[in-house]
Amino acid sequence: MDTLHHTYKNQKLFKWLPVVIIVLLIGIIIGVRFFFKDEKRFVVVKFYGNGAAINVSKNYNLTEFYYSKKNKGALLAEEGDILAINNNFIYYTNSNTDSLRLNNSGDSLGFINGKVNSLIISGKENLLPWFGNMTAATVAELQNISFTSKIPGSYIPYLKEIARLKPNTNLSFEENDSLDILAEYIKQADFFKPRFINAAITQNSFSSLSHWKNIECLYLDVLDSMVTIPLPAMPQLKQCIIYGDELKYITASFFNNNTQLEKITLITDLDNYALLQPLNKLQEISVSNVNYSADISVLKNKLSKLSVLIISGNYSDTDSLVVLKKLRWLGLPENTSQQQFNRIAAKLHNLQVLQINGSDSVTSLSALQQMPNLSALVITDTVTDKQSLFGLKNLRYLSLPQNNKADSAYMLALEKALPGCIIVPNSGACLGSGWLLLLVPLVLVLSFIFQKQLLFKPNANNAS
Amino acid sequence: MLIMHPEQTIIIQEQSKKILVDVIICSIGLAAFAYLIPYSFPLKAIAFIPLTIAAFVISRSINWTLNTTDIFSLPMLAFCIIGFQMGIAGAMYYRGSFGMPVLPATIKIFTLLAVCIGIMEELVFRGFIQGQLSKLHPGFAIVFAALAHASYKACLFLSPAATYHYSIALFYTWSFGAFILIGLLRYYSKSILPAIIVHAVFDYVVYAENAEVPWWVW
Repeated sequence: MDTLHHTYKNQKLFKWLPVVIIVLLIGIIIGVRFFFKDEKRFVVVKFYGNGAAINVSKNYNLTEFYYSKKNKGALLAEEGDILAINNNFIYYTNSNTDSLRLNNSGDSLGFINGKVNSLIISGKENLLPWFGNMTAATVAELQNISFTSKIPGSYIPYLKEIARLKPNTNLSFEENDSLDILAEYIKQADFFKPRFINAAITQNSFSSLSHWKNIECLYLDVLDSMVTIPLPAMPQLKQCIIYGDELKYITASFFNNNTQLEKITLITDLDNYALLQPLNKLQEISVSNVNYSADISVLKNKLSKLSVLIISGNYSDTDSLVVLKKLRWLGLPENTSQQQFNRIAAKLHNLQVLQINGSDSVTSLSALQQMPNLSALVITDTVTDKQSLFGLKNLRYLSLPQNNKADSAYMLALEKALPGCIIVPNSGACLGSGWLLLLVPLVLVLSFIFQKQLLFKPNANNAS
Repeated sequence: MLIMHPEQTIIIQEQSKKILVDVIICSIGLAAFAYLIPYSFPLKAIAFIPLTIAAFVISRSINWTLNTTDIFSLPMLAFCIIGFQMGIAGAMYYRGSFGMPVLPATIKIFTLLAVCIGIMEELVFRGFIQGQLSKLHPGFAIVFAALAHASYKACLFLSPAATYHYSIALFYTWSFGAFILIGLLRYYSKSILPAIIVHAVFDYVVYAENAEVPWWVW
């Protein structure tokens, strides 16, 4: 009786067990999704063709990544970054496209993966024949139109048609000594609603920017040496890149109308960063400073929220970086000492990307072994400790200065020690050999040779 | 009470011996194949000898019958759902820990090959090896099949011709654990189908965005 009762209980339990497991697994799936929810995802974007690329949003020492027909190039990016490739800009919004085959046809058309990606209105080439053959399919992948000269009147109907088909095409206005190209565009061909604008501009033209309500990202090549007025309000603006060869001063109220900004890149020498003070939602900062020691102490209370901090040049308070536990990407200042480097490596366990400008003060990179999540390393200028790189087995991306690449024996040894790095960024080791598929024909052939019968029995026991 | 004649006992012993010899030859053959396949041609060609031996062993013992009656039953549906969930959960964790979005947004053609490889592995290790050994002892069958499968995977990367220097011990441990779970699923479901679903879904999700074939595949 007891045994019967026990068996009945067991049967009942077994009936419910699959349901329990199914519910448990649903919980695990939700848990895994939640566990990786806030992870920053960096993509290795690969380039094929000829030229050089730079991630402007994550600028570090204006490091360019070269690629040629023989050797592909690769750089790190995340969604929303601005990539400058052969003087064209890509607003990188789809991280699933991580292989870009680039080709420039003449002076006016840029192709990515065989599709027209950018159009340059330069006056050097007559685009009318191309416009004449243009269809919706031709411009399906068009992302960017660059204006470098006066827009010929005959182009206007075609630009209007492109704007109808691709209203969010990004716009680029280049410097032209004899013409205000931005004003000229607004006057003649203001059909687009871009999400990204690149403009060579003086502060007198800032007011024109308020014209576009949908801008998410702005890249300004500021032609003045002093900026004394703020940018107009652009409610959708999330990212701003400021470049200025001559720029020496920007007013502290520069961002007062755009305090919602999340990403800032400053590629200009400034002696103070008070303009960053009103930005309370900042997540990413990239500053480049050659002539001054960058002092971003105005941001002291905001630094702890940052996930990306890239400092090219010197920085006045490197010691304070060790408390930035949320950092995923760090570009180390040039004046970092060995002790500071070791402390940062020991404390910032969440760091995924590290950029180092090799200098004599950091002679040992062995501290990098303590960073379990480090998957990308960029060393510019000089590699002071070649040996330690062999031990970084988790790296998926490693960028070294060109002179190291000439040392083919070292590069070969490094490639052998760090397989999958750069070349196969998204692969793991869980897949077996494809040749195993040969088993099917082999077994079939051998079965026939040794006269096995092929049967179909609905209720027979199945061995395979 | 079942009384066996001595002749029957001898036959059973001989059958057990044959099963054991078959699965051991097959496992060693596949491990040798995995060890040799990373070499370049013409050395690569030698890898096909142990693969052919394994194929020969399988062809001698395989039962080309198809059991279709249980496929559409409710318990089988439950096991298939569990298999699907196990594959998804494993792949999500794997992708997340390698810094990828937990679920893929695009699917590239390579993933079909990855799925085929996964299915093939299940047919061999859970289907043939575990299936044969379970006639002797189900628990031993699960462990042996998991060991053979993990060894096959590890051999791919242990070869001097391979350029993979990730911690093989860790990889072996993880693989072994996963294969034990899949083996248990195959045992309780009494079918290879849920195990195939786990592996196929895992490979499908993990490799969905892979544009390039990892070096060890071909």
